[in-house]
Amino acid sequence: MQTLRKKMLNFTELVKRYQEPLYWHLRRLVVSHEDARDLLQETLLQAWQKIDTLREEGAVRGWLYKIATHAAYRHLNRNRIHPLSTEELSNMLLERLQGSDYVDYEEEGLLRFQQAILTLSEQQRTVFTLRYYDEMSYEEIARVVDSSPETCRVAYHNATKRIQTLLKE
Amino acid sequence: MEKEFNKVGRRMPYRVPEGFFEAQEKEILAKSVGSKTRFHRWWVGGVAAAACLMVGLFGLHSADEPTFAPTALYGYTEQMNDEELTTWVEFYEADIFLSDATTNMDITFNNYNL
Repeated sequence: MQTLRKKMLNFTELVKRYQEPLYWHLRRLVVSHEDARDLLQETLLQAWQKIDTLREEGAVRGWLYKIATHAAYRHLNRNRIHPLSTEELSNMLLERLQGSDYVDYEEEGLLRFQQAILTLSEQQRTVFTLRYYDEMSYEEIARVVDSSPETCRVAYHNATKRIQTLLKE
Repeated sequence: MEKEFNKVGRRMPYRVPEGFFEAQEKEILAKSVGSKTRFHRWWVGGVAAAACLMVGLFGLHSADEPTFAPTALYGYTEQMNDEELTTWVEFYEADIFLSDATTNMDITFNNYNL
């Protein structure tokens, strides 16, 4: 009984602390507010079911972001036999950005920046947003995206160069 | 990096409906922790109800049986003369429902060494 109570308290704390950053992470990956909302619920309910398997308390953030990132990837490629190409995915997300109820279209600079991010490959975009917005270390990012810290460092560098180029155009 | 994109910073053009995060928190906790609490309440309630039912069926029934039928019946039949008792037994034996009851009563009669 004590274990169940402890689990409930831990999870409640986890939801309070991480639901907002997780939502924004998902929103940057899928753009649509409705999809990000559904994926946030999916992520946290999965976390609730698997919370007993979490061994290191210090790894909670990376663990949650990993569940969320995988949920977002699955969502973007759902009902497809082959994963979308970078260009197809980018076009789909840019369309979403143009036609969403919950986007401020007044600030052109912010829109252009997001558009540039959306032209990156799935992996680059994830690495870039985790580093730029969530300020994760390359080691933590590597655990989220199942890669090495060096690969993530290179991906971030390339993403930055690409965004800079696009913003100058 | 901060310097390179400092005009934008970490701001985004995305926004959420008012009260979104508060509503989400409630919904997620209701679907996770809340469902566990509801299940726990249901489980405890179910066990308590089952325990009450068991006590009702076995505990009370077995407590009532020796006191109700024999003492009342013993007092009643004791006052009858032989003729009345024979009529009474014949009447009750003819009734399938009551004869069931008298079968049970025989056991209690035995207990009273009648």
